Amino acid sequence: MTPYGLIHQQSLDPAFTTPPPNLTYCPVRQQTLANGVPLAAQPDLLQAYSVTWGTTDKDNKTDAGG
Amino acid sequence: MNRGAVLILTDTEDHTTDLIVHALQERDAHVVRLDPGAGPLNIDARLEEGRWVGEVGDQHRAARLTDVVSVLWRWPGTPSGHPAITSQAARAWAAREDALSILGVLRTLPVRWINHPARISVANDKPDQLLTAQACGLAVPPTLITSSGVTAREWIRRRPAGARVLYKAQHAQGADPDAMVTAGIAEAASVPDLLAAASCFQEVIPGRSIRLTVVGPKMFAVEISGTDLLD
Repeated sequence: MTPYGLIHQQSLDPAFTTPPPNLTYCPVRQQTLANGVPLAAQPDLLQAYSVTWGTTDKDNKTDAGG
Repeated sequence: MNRGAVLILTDTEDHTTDLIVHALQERDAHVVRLDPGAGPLNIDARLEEGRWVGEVGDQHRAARLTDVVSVLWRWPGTPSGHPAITSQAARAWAAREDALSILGVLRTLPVRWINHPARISVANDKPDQLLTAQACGLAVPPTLITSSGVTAREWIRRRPAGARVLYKAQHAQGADPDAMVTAGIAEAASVPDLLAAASCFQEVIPGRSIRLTVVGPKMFAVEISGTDLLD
C-alpha cells in the first residue's frame, strides 16, 4: 500500500533535477566555477541554475530540509 | 592581526553559499568552507579552560577553533568514514565517530551562529511551530494530525460550509529523490480508512499568501502570487 500523503507527491521538472553542465567546485577558491569563473559572479547563470537542482531534500525554501 | 575566521559547513553543491563566500572574500574576510561529507576532516582539539581549542580542517585548509568568529551551518554532508577503511561496518563506525566528535566539537563554539543546529532542529518541528505561531498571536487554522482516515474524514466534514482542507506533509522531500510532497486539497471522499502514516490536515486560511522572513527585529515579507496552488 502507499501512504495517503504520497498522493500529493510531485516529480520535479528535470530542469531542477539535472545537474547543470560545466560546473566544478574549486576547493581553492571555495566556490563553484562555471567555465572557470565563479558562479556567484554570474548572476544570470546562477539564477538559471536553481539552487534546488538535484537536491530536493535541501530545498531552498526551508533550510535543513523542511 | 587576527581577522577571525568565518567557518562555513555545507556541501559543494550549495550555490547560495557560493554567493556568501564570494561576498565575504570580496571583503577580504577569512573564510573556511568545509564539507564533512566530501571526505575525512582533520581534527586536533584539546579541552582547555572550559572550551575546545585546536584546529579542524580538510586537505586544503584548516580553521583554528579560537579564531572562528562565526559559523554558517547550511547543509553539511554526513561523514562517510575514511575511504581507506575496507570494511563497510568499520567505515560506518568511523563515520559515526567522526560525526559525533568533529561536529560535536564544532557545535560547542561560543560564537555567532547562523544557525546553531540545535536551534534548527527545534525550529523545524512543525507541530511546535504551530504552537509558537499561536503564542505569537498569529491566526493558526484548525489542525489535525492523525493516522486514522476515519477520523480525518469526520474532521474534514465538520469544517464550516465552504471551508477547504489541505493535507501537508511534515517534510517536503518525497519518497523518490527527485520528488516533493506539496500541500494539496484533501477531499473527505478521497481519504482512505488507513492513511499508513501520521498525516496533517489543516483548514485553508483564505486570502493572500505571505512568506515572512524574520531577522531579529526586522521582517521581510513577500506576497506569493501567480498560482492557485497551495504550496
